[in-house]
Amino acid sequence: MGQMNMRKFYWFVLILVIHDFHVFAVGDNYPVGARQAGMANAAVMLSDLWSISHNQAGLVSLDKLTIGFFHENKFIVSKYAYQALVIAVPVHSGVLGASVSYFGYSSYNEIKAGLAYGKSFGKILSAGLQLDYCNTYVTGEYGNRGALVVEAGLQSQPIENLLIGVHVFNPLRAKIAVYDENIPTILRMGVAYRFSDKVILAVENEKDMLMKPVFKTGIEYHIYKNFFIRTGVMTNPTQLCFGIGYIMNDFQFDMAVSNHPELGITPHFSLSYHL
Amino acid sequence: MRHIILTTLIFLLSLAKSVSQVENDPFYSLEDIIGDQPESTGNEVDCTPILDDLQYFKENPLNLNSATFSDLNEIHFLNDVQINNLLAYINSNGQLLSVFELQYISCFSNDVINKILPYITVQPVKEQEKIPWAKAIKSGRNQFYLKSKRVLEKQKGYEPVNDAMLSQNNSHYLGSPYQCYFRWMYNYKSFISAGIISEKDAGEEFFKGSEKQGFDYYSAHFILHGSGIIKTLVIGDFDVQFGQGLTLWTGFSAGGNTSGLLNSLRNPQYFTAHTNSDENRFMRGAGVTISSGSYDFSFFLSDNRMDANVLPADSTNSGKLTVSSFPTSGNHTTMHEIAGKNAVKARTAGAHLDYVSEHLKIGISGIYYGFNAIVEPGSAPYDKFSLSGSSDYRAGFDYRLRYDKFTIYGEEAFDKHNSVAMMNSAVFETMPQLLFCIQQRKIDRGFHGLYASLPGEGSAISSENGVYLGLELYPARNWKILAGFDSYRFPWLKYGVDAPSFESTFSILLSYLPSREFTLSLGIKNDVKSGNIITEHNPSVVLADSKKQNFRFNVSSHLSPDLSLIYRIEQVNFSRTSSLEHGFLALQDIRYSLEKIPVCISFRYAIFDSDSYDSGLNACEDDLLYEFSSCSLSGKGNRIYLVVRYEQSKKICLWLKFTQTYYDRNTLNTGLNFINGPAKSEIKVMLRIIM
Repeated sequence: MGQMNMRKFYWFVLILVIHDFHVFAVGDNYPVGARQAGMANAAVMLSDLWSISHNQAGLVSLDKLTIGFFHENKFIVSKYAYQALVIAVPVHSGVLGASVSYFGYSSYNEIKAGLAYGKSFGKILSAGLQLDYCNTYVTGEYGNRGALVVEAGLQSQPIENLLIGVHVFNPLRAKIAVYDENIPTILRMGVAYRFSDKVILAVENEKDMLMKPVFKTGIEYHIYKNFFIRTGVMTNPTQLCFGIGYIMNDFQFDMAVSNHPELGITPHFSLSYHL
Repeated sequence: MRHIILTTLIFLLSLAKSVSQVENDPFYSLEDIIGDQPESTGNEVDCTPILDDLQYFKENPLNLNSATFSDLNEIHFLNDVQINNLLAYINSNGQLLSVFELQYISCFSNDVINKILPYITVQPVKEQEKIPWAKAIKSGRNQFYLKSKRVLEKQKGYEPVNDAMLSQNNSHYLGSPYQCYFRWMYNYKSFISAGIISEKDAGEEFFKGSEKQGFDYYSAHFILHGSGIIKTLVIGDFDVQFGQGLTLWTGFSAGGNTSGLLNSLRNPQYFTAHTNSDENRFMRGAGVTISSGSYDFSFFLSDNRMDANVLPADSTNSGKLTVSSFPTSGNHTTMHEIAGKNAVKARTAGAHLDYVSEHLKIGISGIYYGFNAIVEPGSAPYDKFSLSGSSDYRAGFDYRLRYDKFTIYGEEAFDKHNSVAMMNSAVFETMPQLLFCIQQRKIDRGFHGLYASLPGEGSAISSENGVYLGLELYPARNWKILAGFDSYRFPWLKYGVDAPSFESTFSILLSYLPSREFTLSLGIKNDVKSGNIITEHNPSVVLADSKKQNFRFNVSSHLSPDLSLIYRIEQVNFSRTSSLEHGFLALQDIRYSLEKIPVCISFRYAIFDSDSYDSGLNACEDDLLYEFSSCSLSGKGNRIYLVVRYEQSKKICLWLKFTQTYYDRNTLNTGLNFINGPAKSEIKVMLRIIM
């Protein structure tokens, strides 16, 4: 099969998937962050810069201005690149964040821009809120359609080393105008246990109101000095994920690979910098 | 020595913390008493009697040193083994000096101690009080409750109708969509209590039409608990609890077998005020309990009216009223329901004699009831042994024997037609870490549960033979296991089951309690039930088993005295013949007490998704005081609720609840409750004034 034929086949599968499994839906909440991707996105209870996409309550762990860039190429299809730019600024009462992400190409694309705020209430509890504008562009008559979406999350540590997180995306059930297209409502809940400074094990459940529940589990191992390795697995469909991370002074570099059973491999990269 | 002082101090501090936590949380542990009641799916359970008791003890903590078995039973959190261990401990070691001694008593886990702490105290025993009548009338306490609720969306039954439809029986609701409730309650300590209750359900008329008298339902009672020969005297509307309930037991009874593992032993209180809003199954008349030495004799007479489904007049019955069954909903919202309102007069008399000693309790009870109508059940085969005729009597023998770490209890009853109902149980407390119980039950076909509360899974009209095994195990520090297995046979037919059938339920609950504030639990339940399978090719009835597996993972954390978070994920797999259906529920609860103003908030966000009604899920909810609702969720959607309690002062308290269920479809419900939209919202308000 020639290169072009292979491409066509991919397109065919993708269209099938869009219709049958809703891998993509208008205004879907694609996760950001290669650390999380390496742990199969079992990350609703974790806290770092990328919490801005998984659970804004996790932003409170940042004590310095931090910026990050994320890039992934879904199934290595050139037109399915996804990238995001994020920034988080600790302020007097909490942490403010902003993010913008872009998926697609000139004829079809989705842009999500969000303003986040995380606040901690003592050591054991933090809460976060985000306001997004989700825009979908399709060339032709459809044009630009967008909606305002709310996200909210909580993180707590009821006993030492046990982290619990919950996050809801679009609780107010916003819709993309005109065609009555639903932006999904997604509830994520997860528990992680930090066995030592070196190992953290996370388990998460994600439920889109209209989709089958997704169970995810991931582990991160601080294997050597500044070096991390990660792996994870999720269901519906079953996907395996692997990742590595490296910290150098104020820079953190993460890389991950996930494997979709039908659509193949997706690489993820992220880079963050503490100012 | 230093070590002991330190440990005691730490214990004290943690205890103090948990006490305040309990007091700030008006909903704490109610689910434990009531359990998940699958049969009350989608309804509010009115648990007024239990909460009345708890509220009384909160204001007047029970002195453990002078408490009797029945006093301790009224706290509702303690099982029989714990109560007996406590009484035995006081008997052999003398009076308790402080509540901290409780942890030395066998079967008193921290969990249990925490639950009962707000309701108990430990003090030297005082002389028994006599009732000062003059003082009682002046210094008694008056409470007023006002409650209202309604569904916010327009339901079909409330739409305006034309005159032609007006005359049709069931085409619309006659009244407004508001439910209104009023209750006045008076009590002087635990000696005297009196009350009036009135209620109008949603859809019932108010001061017009068939309800010229105002509310649809009125109830009043007066109860006296004396210390002399007359132990209890009740006049008005009351509930009766004798023995283990096979002969006579009306009103609320907590838990079924599968929820309350070792709590299946019932401790009857003879007569209680009828305070919940069941409009049919209670006694209206007078009752008295006379106590002399070890003997208690109770007797009552009642003349009450019940709703009925009236059959058209028939020449063969010489004009006597004929009815097919007695509906219990208490709703009188359509012409048809109003026609059956209080249609049948029921005269009831009953008596009970109890002998109570330290180890042994035996009793005999009897009831006679007669109607001014003839009951003729339908002609379907499953109705062949349903309640019929115009009178019946039952008599029963009940016992409870406790010897060392071994308790047996039960009741055997028979009726006019020599049908028998039996329930016998044994509880073994082998070690403090391991309790187990065995219960056998047998209910003949033809034995009717009217005014009784029969054990088992089936409804009151079906015969049932079953055995239940239960286990409570503490395998290691911080770990707890509850397990139960119930297997039962229905020797006669049931609605939707056209042959004798066999069913079973297995449940296990594994909990990890590393601290007072944090609990992690995993529950698994497996139900096997039988039902008809009708196919085109095979018109004869074939029964098939359906299997429902339920997995529930629950994390509950009390982060601070003011804040609790609960997370739950639940999965249901339902299979019948070759089909497999799934249900899923994820929910987050937040309960928070504000610091500056006396307000408590309870909030839930839940998301659910089930393939069918059979794979639907139940979730218990916080509610107004005196209500406890279990919501049944099927289809795809989400549910939120917000309960706000505002305690302006000790005297005035206000509750507010808003719920909304959103479904991924365009219309909800059928018939008169049809809603043209994807969401159903309800608002409830309640006000309590104490004087």
